[in-house]
Amino acid sequence: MKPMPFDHTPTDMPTDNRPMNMGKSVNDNTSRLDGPAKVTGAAKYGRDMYLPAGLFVGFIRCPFGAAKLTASEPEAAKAVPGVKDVVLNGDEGRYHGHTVGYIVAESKHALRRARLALAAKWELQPKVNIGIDGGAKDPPPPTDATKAALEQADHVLEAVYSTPVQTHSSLETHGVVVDHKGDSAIVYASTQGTFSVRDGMADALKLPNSKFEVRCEYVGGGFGSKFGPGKEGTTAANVAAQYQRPVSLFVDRNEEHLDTGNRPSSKSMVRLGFKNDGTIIGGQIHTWGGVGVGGRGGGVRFPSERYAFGETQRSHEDVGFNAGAPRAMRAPGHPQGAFAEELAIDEIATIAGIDPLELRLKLDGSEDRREMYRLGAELIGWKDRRKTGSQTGTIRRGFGMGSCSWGAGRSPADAEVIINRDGSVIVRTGTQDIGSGMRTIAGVLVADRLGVPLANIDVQIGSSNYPEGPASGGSTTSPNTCPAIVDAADDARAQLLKTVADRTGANPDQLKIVNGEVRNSEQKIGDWTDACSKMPADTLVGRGRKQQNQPHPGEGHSHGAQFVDLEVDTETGVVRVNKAVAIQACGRVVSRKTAESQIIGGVIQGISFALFERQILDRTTGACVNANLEQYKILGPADMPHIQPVLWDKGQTGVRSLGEPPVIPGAAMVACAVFNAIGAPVRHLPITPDKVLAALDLTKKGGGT
Amino acid sequence: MNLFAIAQPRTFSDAVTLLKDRRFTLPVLKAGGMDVVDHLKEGLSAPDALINIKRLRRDGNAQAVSMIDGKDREPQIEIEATATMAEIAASRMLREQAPVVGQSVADAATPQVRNVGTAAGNLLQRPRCWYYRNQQFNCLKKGGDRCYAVEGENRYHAIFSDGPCHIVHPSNLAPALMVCDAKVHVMGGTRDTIKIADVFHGPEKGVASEHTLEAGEVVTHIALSPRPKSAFVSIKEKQSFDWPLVMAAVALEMDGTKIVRAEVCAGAVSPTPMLLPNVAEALAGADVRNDLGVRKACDLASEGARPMSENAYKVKLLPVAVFRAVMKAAGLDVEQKERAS
Amino acid sequence: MSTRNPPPAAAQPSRPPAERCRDNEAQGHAGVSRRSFIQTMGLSAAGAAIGTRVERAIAQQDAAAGAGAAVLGPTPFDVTLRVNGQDLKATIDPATTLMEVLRWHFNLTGTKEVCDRGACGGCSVLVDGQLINSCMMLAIDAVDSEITTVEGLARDGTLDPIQEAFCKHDALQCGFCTPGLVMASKALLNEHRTPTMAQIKHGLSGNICRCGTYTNVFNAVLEASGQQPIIDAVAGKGGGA
Repeated sequence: MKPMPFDHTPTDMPTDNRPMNMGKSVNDNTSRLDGPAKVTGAAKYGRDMYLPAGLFVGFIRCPFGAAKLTASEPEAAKAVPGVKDVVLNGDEGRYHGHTVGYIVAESKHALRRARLALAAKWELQPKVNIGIDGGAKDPPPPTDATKAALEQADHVLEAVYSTPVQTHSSLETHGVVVDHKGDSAIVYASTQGTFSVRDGMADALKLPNSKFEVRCEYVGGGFGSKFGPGKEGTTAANVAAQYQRPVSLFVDRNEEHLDTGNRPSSKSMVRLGFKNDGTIIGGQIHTWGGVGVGGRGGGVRFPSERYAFGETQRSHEDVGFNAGAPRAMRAPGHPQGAFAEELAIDEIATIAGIDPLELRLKLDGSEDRREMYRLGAELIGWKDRRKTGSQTGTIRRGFGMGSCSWGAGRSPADAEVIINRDGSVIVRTGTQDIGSGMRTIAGVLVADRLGVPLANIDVQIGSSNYPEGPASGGSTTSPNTCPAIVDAADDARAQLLKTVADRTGANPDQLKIVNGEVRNSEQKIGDWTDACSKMPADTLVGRGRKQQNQPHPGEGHSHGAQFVDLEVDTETGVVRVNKAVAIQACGRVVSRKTAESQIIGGVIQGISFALFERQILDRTTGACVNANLEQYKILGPADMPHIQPVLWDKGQTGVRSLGEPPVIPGAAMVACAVFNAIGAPVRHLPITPDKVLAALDLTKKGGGT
Repeated sequence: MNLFAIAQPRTFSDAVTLLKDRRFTLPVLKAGGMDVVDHLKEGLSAPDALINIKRLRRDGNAQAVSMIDGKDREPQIEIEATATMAEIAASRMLREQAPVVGQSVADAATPQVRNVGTAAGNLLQRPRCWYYRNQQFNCLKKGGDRCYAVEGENRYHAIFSDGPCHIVHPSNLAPALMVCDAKVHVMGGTRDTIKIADVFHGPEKGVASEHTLEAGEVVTHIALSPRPKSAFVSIKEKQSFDWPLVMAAVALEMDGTKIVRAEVCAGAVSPTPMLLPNVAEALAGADVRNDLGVRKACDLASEGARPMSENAYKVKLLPVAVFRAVMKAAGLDVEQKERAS
Repeated sequence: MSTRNPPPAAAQPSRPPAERCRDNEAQGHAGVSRRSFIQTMGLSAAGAAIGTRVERAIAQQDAAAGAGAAVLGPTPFDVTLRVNGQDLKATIDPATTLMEVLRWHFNLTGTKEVCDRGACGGCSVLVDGQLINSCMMLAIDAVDSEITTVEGLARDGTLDPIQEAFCKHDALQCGFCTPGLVMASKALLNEHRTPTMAQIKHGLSGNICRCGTYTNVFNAVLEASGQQPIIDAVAGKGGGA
């Protein structure tokens, strides 16, 4: 691609090494483009696609943690009116939700009745493992270096921290609708990766990629759990190919808690030696991650490398148990790690008699983050923080803080910008908008690069027929797609200006478009509508591409810091959060509103993780007893603190994703604040009243710290 | 849900008749439907007919909540069986005459549920125990041979139960009515009224149900006595939609700052709403300004508690809820005072 | 597929009102007659006022029998529901909830299925102006009522003020909880013209959002009620920027 004359950074380097140019910060305050569709109910999600003559598929699942299917009545199930097939392809259940077959029916009611009529009988296996403790091995013995660090220390912190399994709980469950027409198909997927679905469906559909389209115009949440077709996609595709009828397979809410991934549980054991001035000499950190059946990815990001921990002996063990396997969930490994790390730092600070903010200013080598800490402390009112354990009233106020850091990954991305003769513009990218505002960002960027109003721009996303874009994970969507979109817009603009140059004899290098006006040097020679109407062809197509290995300007770490002000009712153990401040590096902000929303959303998930959420397995049978939104507790409106987001753009180049970093410090800061309020740490999430009361009991007995 | 017929009686009389109709093997009354529909969806119940009494009132114009003056007796408050929780919470008359009742439902469940959940439905709803609500667990209540909470996950279960079943009765309204000398009016059986305390029974008398209504008996309305100095307090993990960990309903008769007589009832700690006569007795004669004295009386609420492996925290929470309800009933807002210090 | 197509003012059901719905759901009862099969029983005195739409239909179909308690099902029967000002007909299985009729029979998919147990508010609609969970209400209980779904708030292409406010304050991300929260906000504002923050939190406490839009939803409600939203987000912070 020939380098184009941009307004800003010169671009005379070869394409492959060229950092993608982002232009100046757009920092637009436009409202989300799909707002009207969402607030009127016009937005159609995968789950909303009810097609004529469609079939419904539902899984048959093991109801306990470890059980064997000993009897069932498939004929009785098939005899239910409206049932087409009952397929059983296994009899061993190794976790609650483990699939052993499926039912095909003409209606959801028939499907549910068939499940009951199936009368599946399960025999419990003698042993069931409901968590890390069931299978964890001991940590490795301390090395000599560890022993030395502990010996040199003035104090040693020995503690165990833990976090439970957290489920993504997307409001739209996992599933697809497959409209199989024989020689072609359309798949309506609820996904974070339109192309990841396409790439996994060909075999099941018995069609090559070129013969089917995956559509994902709107998706009701994913948080890391919706990549690839999943068993929902492949099963639906198989059934659709078999019957050549549309098939809808969307799991029920209880299934969503059992078998669609989760944030793995964690346990962190620390033995850290530190000096009187708070310097951490080193020690041992061993972590365990609970990875369910056949799962991986239980890693715990501790230490985070944001704070100087000296020399630490580090080891980790993934522990399997009888539950659904994890899937990446918003900043995998980080919230669990941050919780343990930040609370450990607060405990160290308290023992050493140092303000935890001061200790972090000392331990954190990043001047960027230290500036954030100072700002956050000011905004939250850190000066009102009382010394940990010094309060005696019934309602005690606590302050806490935490930090985060996240690097955005690289992926390839393609985009097209099409200028039509009537002056309208289409931007196309196959990527999806899972609520991050990608659709809006795309429109705003193109409007900015072309110098035309946003109202002229039609953003088309969420189809595998469009140019390939990244999946929404690892906070990669915006940083990787935006450069491709910008390039496509610039290419389209250049082509348009070339047609103007050809027509008028002007020098193309001196043409530009500003606010809908075509200018030669600074002289207006026409307007956008005119230029478009005189194009030689009806459309022109600009293309942009970002290669896998091209760095994008959003690289480098997105730092953040969060602060919280809460109160603990020491008679009931109930925690109420008053206010949270969330500072987040966000590079060149394209869309302010959506950026703030991402940050606020991350804070809410963090606080919810701190106080309410946990998957509970019955210790006798391994069944999940809270596979619903009643007893799996998610923060609701009446639990809300005031949340103040702060967009930090100092020294930031390029667009950054905000999907993940804001979710990292929430639970950590809440745990620190509760410790501050009551004088004893609650080291195990969620921080429920029983644990607070137990911790308070320790302070009365002179225990705790 | 299975297939069922839906009968729409226009009077309570019709409803009673339909419950005895020989065409139906298992007719079930449905008012607001929150609990019935949940049972149907979970496969816990397979009626062949729903007797739909949603919005049925004693007569077409009956007010949800009304005050009936008596000539020679104290006025009675009457709540229609199908008065919704929202109607009860909104009643200004109740707020003055028996605040404990409105308070008990004002924050219960969610706005959506309060718009359909009914008074009688709230009293007669089945427990929230997650073993009961899971069709896969054949627990005692469903004819099985054990209570899974005993060795299982019992953090939300009873601290006052000798078994064999360890549920907590989930009704918010029940403890409130218990301190208002309420009577549940019924038809279709052998009696006209049942004292509120006699509506519920513990597992020692049977586990298949939690109430004493006879088959075919239908609640028409609830009558209660005014209790102007009364209050309800519940403690929850989450402030949005959550079931209470413990509840306390208190009604006081006061002479200045002195408590002459108290009625105290606990909720969410035992298989039935649980009166606390020991606390009531200890409160009689106490001065509400005597913080320590009142607290000491309220601490008796946990006397005799036999917590399970995961719910000992409820033993600590109950006296706190009772104390706060006493102070609230007496017109003192404790939480506000503490926040200021 | 694109952002240019303006959303329909009130999403029209896919079939004209008068036509009965014969889609998958009704087909589920293969082999069963679609005609509603209704019994009446002469129980109470004849002549009692027949108030409901369903009962009118019964009376017409079975005028010979005495008036009394109507019994519908267990086979599918016809209902007419008044949704967003239109009479819509469907033949339904008795176990059908209001949410299911709206989504499956009338293709009004704005009302979302999220938990199907009345725990999250995602399926909230107004029935006679009252906010309820449509997943826990049998369709039969909504006959004879005015049902308002999220598709029915905008008028002639103009968004309701609460919808405008949601857009302005970015009170949505993935959007799946949005219809429920819009309806809950509408119900709240119908009850409290200028709600306090405590009333807002209480009024919306039956709705769950996983993406975390509550802060902006609160601001949308404040704005729509003519009050000042709480906006203290700080932008452009940091060093020399």
